[in-house]
Amino acid sequence: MVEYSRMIKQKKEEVLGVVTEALPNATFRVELKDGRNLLCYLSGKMRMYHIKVMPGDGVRVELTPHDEARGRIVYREKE
Amino acid sequence: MIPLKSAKEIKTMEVGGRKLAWVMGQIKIKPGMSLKEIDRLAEQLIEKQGGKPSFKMVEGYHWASCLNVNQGVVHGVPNDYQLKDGDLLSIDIGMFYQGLHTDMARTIRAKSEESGVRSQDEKFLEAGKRALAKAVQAAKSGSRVGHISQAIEKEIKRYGFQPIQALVGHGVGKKLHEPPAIPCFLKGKIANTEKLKSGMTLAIEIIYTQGKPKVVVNNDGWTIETADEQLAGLFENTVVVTKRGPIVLTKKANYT
Repeated sequence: MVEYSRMIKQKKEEVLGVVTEALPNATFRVELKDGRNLLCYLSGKMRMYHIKVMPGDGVRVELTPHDEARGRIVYREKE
Repeated sequence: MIPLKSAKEIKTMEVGGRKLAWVMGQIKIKPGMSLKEIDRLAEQLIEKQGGKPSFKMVEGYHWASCLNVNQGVVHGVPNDYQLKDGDLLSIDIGMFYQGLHTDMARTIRAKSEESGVRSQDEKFLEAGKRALAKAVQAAKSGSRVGHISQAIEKEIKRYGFQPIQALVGHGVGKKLHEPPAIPCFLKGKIANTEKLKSGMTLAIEIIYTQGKPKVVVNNDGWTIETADEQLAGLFENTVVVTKRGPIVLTKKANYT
């Protein structure tokens, strides 16, 4: 077996969805391609670069294995 | 403190290492074999040699080997996946024999008789084998851990591949993992790394990839893969540092 020299991050799944609702504090309701509805928050990088996200936008959401009902918006698709 | 082994302990590890090398040599893979089959075979062979699978002694791990396919790097949990023609399989096995562990690993291609040799894969595997040989040579009494790391990094990069930074080789013996940590690349000055002394037993691991060195762990909590899904390779031997130079313990006996 191999030894770890530092923490290795969990593999996170990335899915596509559409923003349905804008909530306070950079939180959004997103409907994923597969029908699921998630409460997502805007990633720090997107906030830092002032990227506006509105209902109707297509976004990429990062899912964590720890909570099925939450997601992290990491990209806004250009249309 | 890096533990030093007594002459008696080294002799025991020599025997254990030879047995482990025999086990490794007996594992021949073909497309169609499942990882669970291969793991079961490894376990049977280890017990046949009078040892115990070291990895089963690791908290939370219930198999005798770690099997990693293609972009799998290390700690792959054996499952029902069936090998396809051309898959690269890294097999990592540890054996506990008479109180001491030895650890070794190889990456091999699963191929049917008709399939040809894919030259890029052969080069990729060659890089790992050469790096292991050079790393072992660097494990001399009086040298430092940094010399081993440097040798690995130099050889892997010479072939155009990347050593993985998050995973390291290690001392081995009474415990499966002992100090020192042996990275596959040199960070900082060699003079700041530990000195190697006679009696140290090291599991030198070559962990490298064709793509970028970032790795992620799967949802099963064990399997580690490359983040960019490029091929990864693994080669490992247990060696003992002696006054007359490094000796590979996980080697089959020479019959004269």
